[in-house]
Amino acid sequence: MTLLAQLPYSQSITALTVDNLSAGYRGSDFAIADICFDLHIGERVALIGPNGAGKSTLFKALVGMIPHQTGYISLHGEDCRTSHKLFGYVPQQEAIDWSFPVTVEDVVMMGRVRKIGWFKMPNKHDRQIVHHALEQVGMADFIHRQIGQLSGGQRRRVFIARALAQETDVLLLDEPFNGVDVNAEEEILATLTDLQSKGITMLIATHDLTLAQTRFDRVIVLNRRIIADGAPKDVFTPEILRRAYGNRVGIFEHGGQATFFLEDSIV
Amino acid sequence: MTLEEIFIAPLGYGFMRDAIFAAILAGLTSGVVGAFVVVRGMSFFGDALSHSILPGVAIAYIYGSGASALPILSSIPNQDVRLFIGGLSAGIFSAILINWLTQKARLKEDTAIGIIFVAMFALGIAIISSDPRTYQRDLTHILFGDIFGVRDSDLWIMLISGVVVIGTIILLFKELLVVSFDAGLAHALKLPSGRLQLLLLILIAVTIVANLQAIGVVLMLAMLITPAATAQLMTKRLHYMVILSAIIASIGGVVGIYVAWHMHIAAAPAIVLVVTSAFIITFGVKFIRGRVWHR
Repeated sequence: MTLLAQLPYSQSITALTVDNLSAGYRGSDFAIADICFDLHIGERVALIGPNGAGKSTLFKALVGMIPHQTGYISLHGEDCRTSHKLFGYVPQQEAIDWSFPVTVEDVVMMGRVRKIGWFKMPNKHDRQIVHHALEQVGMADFIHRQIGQLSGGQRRRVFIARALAQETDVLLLDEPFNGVDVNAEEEILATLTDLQSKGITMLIATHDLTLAQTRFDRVIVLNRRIIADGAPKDVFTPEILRRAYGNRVGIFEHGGQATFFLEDSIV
Repeated sequence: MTLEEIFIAPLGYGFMRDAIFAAILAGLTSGVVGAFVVVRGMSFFGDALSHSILPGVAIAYIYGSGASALPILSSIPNQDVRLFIGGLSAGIFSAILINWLTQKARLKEDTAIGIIFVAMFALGIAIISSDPRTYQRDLTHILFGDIFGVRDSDLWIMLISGVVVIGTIILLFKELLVVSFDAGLAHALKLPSGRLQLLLLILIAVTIVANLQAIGVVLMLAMLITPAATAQLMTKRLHYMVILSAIIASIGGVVGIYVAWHMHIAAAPAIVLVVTSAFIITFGVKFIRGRVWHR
């Protein structure tokens, strides 16, 4: 019996296609293997899985940080290896040196680098786009702050603005809720909901099972291979989650509704 | 002593004017490149690279002319150009070797740097010591520089290298900023990250070799790191840090020359001590302001 649940979701236009993707090495095997999924325009999809499941490896393979050994990635129907189309990428907080001497404006302007072109300086149009991107995430008032002076949630929103400044409509967010408080989490979610309403497609890695279950329309469960892919009500079953996480998954039932959590995440 | 005697009178000597010109050129180039070395956390790499050029310089020096000359080196007529090419070759070779050891042998970068750095430095000293007639004098000259002895050809090398290095950084500033701040974004934007990183290493190597005559191998790191670290205390933007670092390094170089002249001490250590003083003062001011601000 396969646990891979191919379940119905929006049948609209495909933004991202990942077909038979294998990448990275772990010993003699691939870190992720046989990855297949589509993202449709305007979808907000949670990517969950235990530590070492390959969530960050998948993102790195998608943006080209690590080569993929097999498979095919297409963005709006164009092969990523040859296309000029770009992902908006928000890396994990730990990947960034927050003492780096750059302001919020500098960080968001980095998203414009390819649009500006080689050997050229940003012009008024680029600065307007940067300002608009910051307004979209509610961070325009912080434009001249040093990036390290912001809170964790504010930094994530600035990085989302940077992805928007790329003028791309497919965002990859690697653990955007990690290490932020509940208020910041809600602010980020509000920003993402607003972007989704504008047709932005998002794949979001998270450790938070409750968040994935309650705030997303679709969830992909990864543990080196895709375990399940579908609506939360179909994916969040004890069988599927134990397949991904082993016996670390706890179930809390209240009013006929089951909520899942990782037992080692309780403090 | 009057101001005229302190600042103007020494300029009556041609070698003093050349030394000041060399200090400004060395300061501008190492200040600009040093900002990237500091923000990327490459201090150890910069130190290693400055020592790793020694065998190239030594080979070019000993086997560039005379009875034991190598044809490939003796075909270059100017000794300073020979030293520049020799040092640059050794520097680029070391950078590629460190990169290769880190990637292929899966050694930690600081381990790979440590191995190559000491081995290349030892090789350089061994080559120089193979010619006992020049050992003491020439080793000191290469290790600690001789800014009062710069020749026109040295100044031309420093000028041309400085224009190339600073010009490249200005033209590719935003791409180098992205690669330095967030490698993931560089890939997402499909920038040639590997080639940009290698370019930065080559620019560091060019800067070190071009300034060899003025600063020397051992104290080179201070000119790369200290002015940039001082500038980082003053600003929150890399753009301004690069400019401030270049200004601090140049002014520090000139002040160091005057200090060396009036106090009769070696120039390179004087320059290093001046820029270090600038760092200490800036750090102190910032620390005191921070404490007052938070009261």
